[in-house]
Amino acid sequence: MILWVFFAVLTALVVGTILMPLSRDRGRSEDTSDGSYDLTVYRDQLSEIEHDRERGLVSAEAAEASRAELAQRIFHHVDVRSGEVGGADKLGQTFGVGGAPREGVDVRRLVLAIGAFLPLMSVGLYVAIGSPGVPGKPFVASVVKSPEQSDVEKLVGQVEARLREKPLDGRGWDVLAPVYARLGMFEDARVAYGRALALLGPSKERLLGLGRTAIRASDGIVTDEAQLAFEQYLELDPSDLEARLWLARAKEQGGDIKGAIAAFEEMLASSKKDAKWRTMIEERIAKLRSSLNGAGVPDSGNKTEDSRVVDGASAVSEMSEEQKAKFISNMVERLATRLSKDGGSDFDGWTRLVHAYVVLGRTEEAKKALADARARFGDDEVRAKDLDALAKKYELGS
Amino acid sequence: MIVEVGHFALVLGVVVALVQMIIPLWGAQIGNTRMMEVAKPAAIMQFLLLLIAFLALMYAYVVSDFSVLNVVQNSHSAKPLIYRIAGVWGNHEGSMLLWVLVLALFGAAVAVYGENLRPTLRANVLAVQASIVVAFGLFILLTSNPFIRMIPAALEGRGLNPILQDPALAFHPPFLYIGYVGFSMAFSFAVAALIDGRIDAVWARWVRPWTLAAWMFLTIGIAMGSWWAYYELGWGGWWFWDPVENASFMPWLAGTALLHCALVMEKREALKVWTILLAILTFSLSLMGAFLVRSGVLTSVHSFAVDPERGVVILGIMVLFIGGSLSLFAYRVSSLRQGGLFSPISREGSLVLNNVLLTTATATVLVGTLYPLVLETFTGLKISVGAPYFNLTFGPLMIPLLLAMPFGPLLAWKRGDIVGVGQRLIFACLVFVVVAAAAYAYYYRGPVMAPFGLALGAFVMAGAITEFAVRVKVGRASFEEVARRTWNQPRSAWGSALSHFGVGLMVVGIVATSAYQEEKILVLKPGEETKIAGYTVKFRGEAPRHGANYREQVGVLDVMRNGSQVIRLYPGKRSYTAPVQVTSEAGIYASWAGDLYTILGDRQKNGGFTFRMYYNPLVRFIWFGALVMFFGGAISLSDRRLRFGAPVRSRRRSAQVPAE
Amino acid sequence: MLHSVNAVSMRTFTTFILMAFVVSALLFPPTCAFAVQPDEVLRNTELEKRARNLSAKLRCLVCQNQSIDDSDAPLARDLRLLVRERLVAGDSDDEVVGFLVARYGEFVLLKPSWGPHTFILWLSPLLVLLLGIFLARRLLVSSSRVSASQDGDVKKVNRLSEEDEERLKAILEVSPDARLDK
Repeated sequence: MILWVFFAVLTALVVGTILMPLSRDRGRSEDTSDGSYDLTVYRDQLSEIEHDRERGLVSAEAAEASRAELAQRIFHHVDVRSGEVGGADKLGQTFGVGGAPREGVDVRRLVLAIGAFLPLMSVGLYVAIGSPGVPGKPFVASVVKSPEQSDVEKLVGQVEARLREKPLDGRGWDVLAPVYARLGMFEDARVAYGRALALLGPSKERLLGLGRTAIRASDGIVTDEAQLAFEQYLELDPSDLEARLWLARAKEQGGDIKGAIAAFEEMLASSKKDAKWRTMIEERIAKLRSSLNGAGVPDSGNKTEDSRVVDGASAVSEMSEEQKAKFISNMVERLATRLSKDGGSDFDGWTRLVHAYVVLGRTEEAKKALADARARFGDDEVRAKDLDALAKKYELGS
Repeated sequence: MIVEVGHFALVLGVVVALVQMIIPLWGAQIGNTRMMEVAKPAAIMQFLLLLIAFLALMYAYVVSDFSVLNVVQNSHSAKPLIYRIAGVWGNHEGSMLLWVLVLALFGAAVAVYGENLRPTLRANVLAVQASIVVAFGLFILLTSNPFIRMIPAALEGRGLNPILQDPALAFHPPFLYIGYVGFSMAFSFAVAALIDGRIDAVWARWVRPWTLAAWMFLTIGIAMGSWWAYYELGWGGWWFWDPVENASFMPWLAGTALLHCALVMEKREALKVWTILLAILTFSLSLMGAFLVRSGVLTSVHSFAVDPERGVVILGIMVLFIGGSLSLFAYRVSSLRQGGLFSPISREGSLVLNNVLLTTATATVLVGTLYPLVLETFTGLKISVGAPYFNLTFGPLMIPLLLAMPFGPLLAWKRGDIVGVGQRLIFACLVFVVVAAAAYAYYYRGPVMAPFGLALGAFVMAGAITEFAVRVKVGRASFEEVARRTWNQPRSAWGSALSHFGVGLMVVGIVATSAYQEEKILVLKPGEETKIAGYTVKFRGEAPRHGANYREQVGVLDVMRNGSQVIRLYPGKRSYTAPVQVTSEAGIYASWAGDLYTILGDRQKNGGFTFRMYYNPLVRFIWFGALVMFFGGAISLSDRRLRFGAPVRSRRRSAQVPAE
Repeated sequence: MLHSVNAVSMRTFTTFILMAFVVSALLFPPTCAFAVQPDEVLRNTELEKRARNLSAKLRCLVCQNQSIDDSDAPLARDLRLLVRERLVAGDSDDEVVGFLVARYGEFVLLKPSWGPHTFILWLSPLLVLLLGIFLARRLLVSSSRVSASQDGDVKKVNRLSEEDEERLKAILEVSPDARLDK
C-alpha cells in the first residue's frame, strides 16, 4: 500500500511539474522571436573580435576584416528574417516556424490529456511488467564467521605477507601448510608443504602432509609427487600403513595390478590379525584378482573404497552413493548425446568424455569414445596427436 | 520496495520522454511557446526519474538483493563493494540503463544550460533527444529489464566475470558512455536544425561545446579501456583492433572530425552540409557500436552480452534513427547555402584535409570491422580481419594527418601563407631531424620506419608549442609583452595547443612501444636472475596471497639497476572462486622511460617458474597523451566563448524565471 | 593434532572426490597455460624470429580475436608448435601459411589475402580517400575561382562602409541587452 502511495505522489509531482508551462498564462511579454537569440550570438562574436583586438591578439586590420564579414552575415540574417531574400526560411515556414506565434491547440484540453495520459500509461505499463508484491531480499550472510575463524584468516594473511617479503623462509610455509589443509585449501596446502620440504628438509609431518594434500588436490589420483612423498616417508617410518596403502593404490591406478596385490598382501602379512581394516584390504585384493582374470581394469574411480580403508568406516550411505552415481552418469550421458547429435565438432567435449569414462571405470566406453573422436578428428594432425597422448595417458591402446 | 520504486520510476521516465517527444515538437511546428516550454521540466524530470531507477538498481547490487534476477546473474555477496557497484553496468541490462541515463543527462543539461538557444531549436533538440530515450527505454522495459524479480529469491549470486574485477574496467564504461552517448546531442541538434530548416554559424556555436564534452569523455573512456587491457590481459598489448574496441573508436574518429569542421562552420559558415552529415554519422556509429556489442554478431573477447534477439531490436532502432535522419537530410540538403569561401591553402583548407583523412580512417575501420560479417552473410566465406590489415591501411592515413597537424592552426583563415608557416615551423622541423637521427643512432637495429614515427610524434609536439609561441609572439616581442599575451590567450587556444601536444605524446608512445619492445620468455628457479633492458630481475621465490573471492600464487621478483634495488614486483596467477576462472596479474614497474612488465607462468618440473617479461619503452605516453588531450578539451570547454553561447543573456533571463 | 585434523577433513573430502572429479572434468576445460612458452622457443634465433612474425599474423581459431602469438589457448600452442615444426623442416614463410590455410581455411589469416572476395576490403580505404579528395577539390576549386569576384549574397569586403556601420548599430540596438563589451 505504501508503495502505491509513493507511486501516486511521484506521478503527481511529475505531472504537476511538466504541466506548469502549459497552465501558465501567456503573460511572458518577453521577446521570444528567434531572431533575438541569434543576434545574441552574433553580438558575442563581435565582442570576441573586439576583445582579441584590444588584447592585441589579432592585428587591427584582420579584426576589421573579420568584423566586416560578420556584419555582412548579420545583414543577410536580418534580410532573410524580414523576408527580403528568399532562403532557407521558406522551408522553415513549411513547418510553421518563424511566423507569428499561433495558438493552434486548445491548451486546456491538452493539459487534461497529458494529465490523464501520463499516470494511466505509466501505471498500466508498470502493472503489466512490474512485481509490486514481491518483497526485497537483501543478502544476509547465512554463515556467520566465528571469531576463531576470522582470527585464523588474519593470521594466515600475516604469514602470507611475511612470505612475500621472504619467500625462502621455510618456517612460514611450515606454519601455513596445515592451516590451509584444515581450511580445505588443498592446492595451497600442497604447494606450501612442498616449499617447506624443499627449504627445511624432510620430516614425517611434511611428507605425510604433502602426500595427502597432493592426492586431494588432484581429486584422488596418487600423483607422482604424492608417491615420492610417501616413499620418502617410508624411509623415515617403514612400518606406516597409510603410506604403504597409498603406494599400493598408486600401483593400482598406474595399471600395475599384480604389484598392487603384492603390496596389499604385504600389508596384511605385517599387520595384526584383529585389525579392523583387514577385511577391507582382503576385499580389495579379491576385487583386483577378479579383474586380473578378465574383467579389465578395476573401477579406479571409486575412491570411497580408499576412504573406508583409511578411516575404518564409510561416511557415506550406500543410498547417497547411488544417487551420486546416477547423477554423474546422467551428466556423462548428456554430454555423449550432445556430442553425437551436433556432429561432434567440439573437440574439448570429446576429450572430456573420454576422461569421464576413464574416471568412471567404463573403459570400453572410453575406448569407443576415443575411436569416435579419432574418426572425426583423425585428419587433423594436431588433434590426432592430442588423442594419441590421451590414449597413452589412460592406456586405452592405440 | 526500493527496487519496485526504481522500476516504476523507469516506466514513468519513459512515458515522460514520450510526452517530451511529442508536445514540444508539435508546439514548435505551430509556434506555440507554452507547448515548447514543456520540454524543459520534462527533460529534467525524465533525468531525475531515470536517476532514481539507476540508484534503485545500484542499491539492489550494494545490498545484494537476490530477489532481483539481474543481481543474481551478475553479482555475488562475496564481491567487494566497489565491484558490486560496478556490477550494475557490467552486464547488458544495467549498461543499457546507464545508456538511457546518460541520454537523459545530456537532455537535462541542454534544458538547464540552453536558455540562450533559439526556443524552437531547443524544443526540437529536446524532442529528438527524448525520442532516442523512448526507443531505448522501451527496448529496456520490454526485452532487457533489469528489474525483473525472482520468485523465490536466490540464496547466492552467480558472480561477475572475474576478468572484469578491476578498478580501471569497473569505471571505464561510465566515461565511455558519456562519450558515445554524448554524441547523441550533436545528432539531436542536427536533426532539430533540419526540422527547423535553419542551419548557420549560430547553430555550430551551440553544438560545439556538447560535441567537445562528448569527445573528451570518449577519449578518456577509450584510454582507460586500453590501459586495462594492457595490464589485465597479460601480454602487454594495449590495442587489439577488436570489434568492440573499434565500436568505440569509430565514433571517436568521426567525433574528432566533427569537432574540427564545426569550428569551420562557426567561424566561416562553410562546410554546412558536411557538418550536419557528420553529426548524424557520428551518432549513427555510436548506435552501431551498441548494436555490435549488444547483439553479439561479432564474437570477441570483450563481448559479454550476447543475445541475437535483442540485437534485432537494436538493429531496428538503428535503422529507424539513421534512416530517418538521413532522409530528412536528403530532403533538406538542397536548401543549405554554402557560406564563406576559402582557398585550398588556408585554415579551412587544412581542416578539410583533416576531415578527409579522418573520415577515410573511420571508413577503413568500419569496413574492416564489418567486412567478415557481410562476406560470410552473402557468400558463406569466412575470413578474419585483424591487426595486420588495420596497421597496413589505417597507419598510412595517419602519417599525412600528423604531418599536416602543425600547419593547420598556423594558417590564416580564408587564405594562408604556406611559406610563412613553413618558416615558423623551422624549429619543429629541426626537432624532427634531431629526433629521427637520435632514434636511429640509439636503436640502429630497430625497424626502419620507427625513427620516422618517433620524429613525427616529436614534430607534432613541437608544432603545438610553436603554434602557441607564435600566438604569444615569442622572440618578436619583449618579455613583458609575451607574458601579457600568454596570460591573455583565450582558453580555447590553450586547449587546442594542449590537445595537439597530447596527440604527439601518444604517437611517440605508440611508436616507441611497438618498435622497441624487449621481450624475454624464460624459466627461473628461486635465486636465479636475468637481465632485461638494463634491469636485473631476480626471482626470490613464490608466495601465496588470498583475497575476498580469489587465491593467488605470486612470484616475488626483485628488480635491480646498477646494484641497487628499484622495486619488488609480485606478478601472480589468480584463481577466482565465483565463477571459477584463472587470471594472470602482471607485475609492472612503471616509469616514464618505460614499463618493466612481468607475468608469472606455470611451475616447471625442476621447481622453477616460467616468466614472461617485457620492457615497453615510453608506453605511459600513450595514456598520458590521452589524459593531456582530455585536459586540453576541458580547458577549451571552460572558455567563456564556448560555454553554451552567450552568458550575458542567460544570466539575465534566469533571474527572471524563478522556481522552475 | 596435525593427524587428527587431516583425518577429519580427509573423510568429508573423499566422499566428494568422485563427484568433484567427474563433474569438474565435465564442466571446466583444462586451465590455460599462457602464450609462447619457453619450451616452444627455437634454438635458431633466425627461425624463431620468423616464427614469431608468422604467429602474429595467424588467428587463434578458438579465441576469435587474438593472434596465436598472444593467445594462451591450448589450440594456439599447438599451432605455434606446428608453425615451428614446419619452419624447422625447411618450409618458407609462404609455404607455412599455405599449409595452414589449406588446413583451416582463410579464416586463420588475420591479414586477408588479396582476391576477388577481398577486393572491396582492400580497395575501400583508397576509394573513400579518392572520393574525399574529389569532393574536397570541387569545393576548393570553386571557391578559389569565386573568391576573386563577388560571393553570392554575402558581399566580400574588408572594411565596413559608413552606411553599413550605421545599419549594424541600428540592428544591434534593437535588443535591450546590446552590449559590445564583455
